[in-house]
Amino acid sequence: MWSRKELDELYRRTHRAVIRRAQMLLNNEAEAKDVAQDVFAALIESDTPYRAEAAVMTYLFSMTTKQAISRLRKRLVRREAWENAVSAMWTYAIPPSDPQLATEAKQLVVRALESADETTTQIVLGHCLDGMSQGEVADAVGLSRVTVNQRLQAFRAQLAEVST
Amino acid sequence: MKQHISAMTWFRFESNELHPGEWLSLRWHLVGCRECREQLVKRRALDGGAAEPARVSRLVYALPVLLAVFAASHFALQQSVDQDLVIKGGESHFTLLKVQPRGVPLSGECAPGEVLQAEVTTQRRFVIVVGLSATGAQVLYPTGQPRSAEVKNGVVKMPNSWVLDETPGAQRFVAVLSDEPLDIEPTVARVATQSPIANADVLTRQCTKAARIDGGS
Repeated sequence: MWSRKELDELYRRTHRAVIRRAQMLLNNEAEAKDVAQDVFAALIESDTPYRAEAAVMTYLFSMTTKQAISRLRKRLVRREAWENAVSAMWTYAIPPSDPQLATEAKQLVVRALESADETTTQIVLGHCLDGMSQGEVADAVGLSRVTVNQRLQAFRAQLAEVST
Repeated sequence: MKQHISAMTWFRFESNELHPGEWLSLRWHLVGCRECREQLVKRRALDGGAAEPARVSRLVYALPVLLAVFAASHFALQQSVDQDLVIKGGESHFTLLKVQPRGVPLSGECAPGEVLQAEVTTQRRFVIVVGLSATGAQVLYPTGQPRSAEVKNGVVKMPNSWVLDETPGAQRFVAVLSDEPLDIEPTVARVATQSPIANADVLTRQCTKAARIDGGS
């Protein structure tokens, strides 16, 4: 169980990063703050001994991404919002320098992600758009690096199908 | 750090959770990467430009003060866009970082085969780096030169990396910083005998190398 003091300290250190991460994905400050609240509430309820610093960081990052993606999925009815969110991330991941190529690639990723499951979405966003290594993604989603690699390969195949 | 800064690294940076070596690598990367600097500015703008939490503030790390001052002085020299993080200062610092895992500072223990790179920040104008082990003294930087190398813009990131040999025991790295060029040969001799060197700062980093234990028969 987390003590009140430990939680206060963890919140003080990390809440800004959690909000920023959510905001990068959602492009919406109010929603990002809601996500942060959900993430810390889930941490309290999880009752999991994430005492090692690396494990806490991975958990918070992963939970924030998951909660934000979940909200993005709910927005899927509004395709434009989803596309804008991916676009925001794409900008940071340094897309192809040719603007037309970049736009086309972004659209392809969005289309392929629409039919991908949540974990695959998290893997693809993390690796292809957030610039995370496969190892970092594996830690964040709680899968082995091999599985992450397999999911990425499968997604690439799916991307190839979408593009033809 | 050749690739752009990953989302996870940003996350840990903003939570003040990067180890000093990682933090230094990130700052080095920011100096040379416009895209990542832009992202830093953009990320700060997300919550009204609030300053980052105090970096390297937790004393559990091995080199907190040294690295914070080193990085701050380095950034002052680089005139980064990151003005609010700059602390002006002119001390000399000598840092040895492991190549694998990248950017981890050398600690008290090291192993044969480990690869190291050195960075020096100083207001002095010339530098020599010498490696000392049980097998003797060796000039590590500059190589093939008769005199010490010039420090440009207050920062030198050594172009070569050094692989630690198999000989167990203490391994010392010594940076000799001066305002006038020094002849390499007599300087190395003085370093080897730990004799004082006039008008020079001598900074030392040391680790103890254990014998390799995977040698088999």
